[in-house]
Amino acid sequence: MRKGLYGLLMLALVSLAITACSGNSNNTNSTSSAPDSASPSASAASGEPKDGGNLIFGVQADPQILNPIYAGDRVSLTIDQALYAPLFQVNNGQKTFYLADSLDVSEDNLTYTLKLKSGLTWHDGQPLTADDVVFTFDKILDENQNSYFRENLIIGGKPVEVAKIDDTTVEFKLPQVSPAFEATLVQLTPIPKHIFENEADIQKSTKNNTPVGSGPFKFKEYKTGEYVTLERFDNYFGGKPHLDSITYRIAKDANTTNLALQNGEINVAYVDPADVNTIESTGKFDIQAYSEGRLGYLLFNEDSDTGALAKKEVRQAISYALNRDEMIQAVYGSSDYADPAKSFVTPDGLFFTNDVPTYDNDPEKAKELLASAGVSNLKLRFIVSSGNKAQEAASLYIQQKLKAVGIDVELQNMDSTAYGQKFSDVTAKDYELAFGGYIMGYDPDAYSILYKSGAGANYTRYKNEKVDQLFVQGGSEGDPAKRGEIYQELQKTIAEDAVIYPVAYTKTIVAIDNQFGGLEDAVLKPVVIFENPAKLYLK
Amino acid sequence: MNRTKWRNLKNEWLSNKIGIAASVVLAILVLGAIGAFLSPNDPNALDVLGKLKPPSANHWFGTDEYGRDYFARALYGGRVSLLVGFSAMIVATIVGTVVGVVSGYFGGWLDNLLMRLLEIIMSIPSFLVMLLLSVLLKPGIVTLVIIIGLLMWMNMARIIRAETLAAKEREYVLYAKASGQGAFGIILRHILPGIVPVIIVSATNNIASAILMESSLSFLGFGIQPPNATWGSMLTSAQGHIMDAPYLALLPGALILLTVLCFNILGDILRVGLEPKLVKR
Amino acid sequence: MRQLIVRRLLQTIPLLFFVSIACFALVKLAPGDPVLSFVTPNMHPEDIERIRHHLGLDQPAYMQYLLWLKEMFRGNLGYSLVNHQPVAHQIIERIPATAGLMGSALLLAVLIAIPLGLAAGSQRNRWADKLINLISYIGISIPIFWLAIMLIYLFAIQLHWLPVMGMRTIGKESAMDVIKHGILPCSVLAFSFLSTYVRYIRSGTIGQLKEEYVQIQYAFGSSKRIVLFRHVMKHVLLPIITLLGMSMAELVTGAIVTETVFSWPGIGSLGMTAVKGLDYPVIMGITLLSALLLIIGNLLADILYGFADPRIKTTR
Repeated sequence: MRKGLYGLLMLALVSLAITACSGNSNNTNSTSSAPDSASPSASAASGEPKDGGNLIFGVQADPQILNPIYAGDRVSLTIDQALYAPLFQVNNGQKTFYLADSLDVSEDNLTYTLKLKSGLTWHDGQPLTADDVVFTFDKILDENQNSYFRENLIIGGKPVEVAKIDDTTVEFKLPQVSPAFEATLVQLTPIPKHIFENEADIQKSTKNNTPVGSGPFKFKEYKTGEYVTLERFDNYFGGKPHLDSITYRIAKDANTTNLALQNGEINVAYVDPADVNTIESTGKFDIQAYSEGRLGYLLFNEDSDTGALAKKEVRQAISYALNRDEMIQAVYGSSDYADPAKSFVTPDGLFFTNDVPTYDNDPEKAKELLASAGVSNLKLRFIVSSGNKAQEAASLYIQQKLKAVGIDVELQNMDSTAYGQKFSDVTAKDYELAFGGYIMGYDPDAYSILYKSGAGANYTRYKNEKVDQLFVQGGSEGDPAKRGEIYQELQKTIAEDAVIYPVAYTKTIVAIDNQFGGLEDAVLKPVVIFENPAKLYLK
Repeated sequence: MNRTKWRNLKNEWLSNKIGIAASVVLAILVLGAIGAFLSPNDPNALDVLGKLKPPSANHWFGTDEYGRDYFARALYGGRVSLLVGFSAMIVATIVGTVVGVVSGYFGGWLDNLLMRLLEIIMSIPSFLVMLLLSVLLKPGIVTLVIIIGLLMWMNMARIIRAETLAAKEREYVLYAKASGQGAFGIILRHILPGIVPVIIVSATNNIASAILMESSLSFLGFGIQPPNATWGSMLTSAQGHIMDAPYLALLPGALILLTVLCFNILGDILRVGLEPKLVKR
Repeated sequence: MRQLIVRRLLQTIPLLFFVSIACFALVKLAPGDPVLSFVTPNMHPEDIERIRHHLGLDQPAYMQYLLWLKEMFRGNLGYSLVNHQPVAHQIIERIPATAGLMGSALLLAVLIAIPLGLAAGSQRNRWADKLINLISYIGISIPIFWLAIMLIYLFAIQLHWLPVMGMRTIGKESAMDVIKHGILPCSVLAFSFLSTYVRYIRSGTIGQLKEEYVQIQYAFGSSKRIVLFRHVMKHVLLPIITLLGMSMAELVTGAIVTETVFSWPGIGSLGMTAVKGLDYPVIMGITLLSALLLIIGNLLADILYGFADPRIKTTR
């Protein structure tokens, strides 16, 4: 019977081992002999980029789909950035060209001519030409393909016309002037025609499991729930990348991610402001904070069933009752990673101005305003997505501050799904307050879906004809100077009406193992972390 | 419930030092929960600058990540945890007993229907039921109680059904039936008293599982409404500070462990005391 | 016996049918819109509407169920609403991780429980018994994620012996590596299962030691250890086999908390993501699998029990 026990023990071990071998993977190489992860090299020679090394990113979820015409989630976008090269990117108004060589706009602003670099190839060696670009845009416009970006190519009810001129030239004809079209081109990345040509439904195609891209790293393997590994693409047009491979490791629990980071199982990850000190004190990490062009704000629902926030004075009173700097302390730990916000536009946006009414903390004024509005015993409901640290902190802080001016706040915590549903339902009437955030990009026309009357994402239910008109004018104005005036007027009006209480332009914090260099050239970038991971190297 | 059983119970309890210790510990915890309002600190008062302070004279167990007094929160949290555990047990006991007795006593198609229903519910993975219900219902203590209660009644119903099946074959029940008493009267007067010991034992163990389940729910992100706390939610948020303030996890963790341990121990003592005829599970 | 199996298997069909209805109703009753889990604010409302239509989410709930059922009869569990991959494929991909972890944990628990249970039963009411009792009490009383975090802190962060998360080191393809990653989650789970098994074995041992054959063995000069391990154990293991059979459904969904703490890529974490995104095809797939295993497990337990002890008649 002793033997029996021993046998059982072996069985336990073997069953774990079977787990090891049978974990399904989409391995493109039949056998992988990848070296150990990020072995700390002894070389101290700093500065000079060296080849080799493996970098491990921590990501929060499985990528939904590794095909850029369907990717909407942060993880897919991050991986696609290394896997698929974009046409070009824009940083502070400056274009950096990737697949594209140039982009020319005609006099009448209706025709865009895109020239590709010559000699581009996909990861499988096939040439990347104008055909692929045209194919990609055709598929996005094809309703049956269910791309998430179709409406970006519909301007004034008509589709953009895309035509191939020669192997490296594509022409886009717009039905009407649209300053935002350039931003659309930044977002859309070509997919290979020769792979997807004969697929009836690209979204469900099994070929998405072994994507063929054009970026600095090519697909190696994906183990669901565990990681996605990409390896160096030697023929990358921007020069051979330094790193041997990049792995995106899935760690859903933020606490686990922090521990894994400190234990060297992850090299790069997003960090919560509250955890920065702990991570920094290990001395093993570069802490980089960058603006994602994100605004964190207190949302006023003007059309709740109690109608409590319909009056501008009440919203202003609430704004006066709060202290922006204190709130930043409470929510973000310190002002290091959150700049006080006043306008609804973010500082990276065109025509941003901070010259608007700011509502600096003044509880007496708040009480006066409430009294003059004839409001007393105000009761407000604050919805919070449970587990969201920033929202929880903000709600607790606001509850306490508003109590001081006689407003009673009831917190309603709910699961993130239920919260998302309620927040984005523009007919929900059963709450008054929420703590939200948005990233709208650099063209202020994008904000119209938030503040125009009856717009799809008008979560505040704000209605102001003047604002509606200004958005229409701004959207079709070609002259930058005049456009600027329109959007500055808008920012003042919205702040005057206290449509939201802007709290902070938050920064995203990334911890990067300091064995790795090349961060400046790789360019930290909203959502995708690095614009060009080809530039990263092991010191 | 007859006198011998009570005597058995008393003997078993008094002769068991661990049993006495468990009762004392539980009594202290319950007193703490009831007397929570005596604590000098407000459990929900934020202190933006006094975050994560180590223990001091003012704050016996330091402060949490929002600068709230940890000791006061543990007292109030215990109140909610115990309340949730106790109420969920009541829900499970009532539903389980009613279903079990009805099913066992009446038998036939009713029994068949109830038992098939029970099988269906038990076949859905409990974490799915738990998560979906917490998305479905408005969050709060009542919701927590309902969710946890609904996850626990099935086992209870099965046990009670088996006991009822045995009890209804007893002579005095058969006699009562023959003498024309109504079903309701028989159940109330003859069946229920016989199965009370089983109910008490299951109920005690159910409190223990309810408190544990609450902490798991908190961990998965479906817990109590802030600013209120439970031991489970305190433990969950302490987990984020395992590197900079590991002591935060000790207090709520130890409290949950101690409480659940005591209820489990008492449950077993009750079992031995009340059902000497039964083979230990 | 064959009749019993056939009848029980036939019973599963209506059961699974009702389980699927109940589960679908639960998902559809939950407030929320599956589309929201992959919609970003800068997507156009027209695109969102089109996607919703494409996924059939604009149809009434009962139609969605009927369509699902129709596909189900063709052996197609459908496609995830979120990543559009076949549900069956996704579930199968995750089974080895979860089943391996739970299987090892169950076996480990039984392996530890046998000597502990025998020792406790044969030393009844002495200090060894009390100590073992206390250990198994703690096993069922400790919040499992707390224990997990404490172990991670000790063995991974402080001692650097074991990894914090995941199932393997990136780039390594060795069984040893997976075992190393599995040690902590497996131990945590095993500890929580321990008490049930210890108790069964303990009470079984107490019962067996009163039997005549034990006295005879002693009379023949067998040592206590031989009696326990050679003879008592055989009898005591019977209920354990039954218990293991009934744990089969747990193989799929029993480890969700542990999987979350350790980022273990199993069914639990798949289910958790699916519930958060209200991805009903995935939720239904997991539910049906788990229900099926539950039924098969119970049936298997009954059969095994019948084989092991012919005295037990297979009623029902």
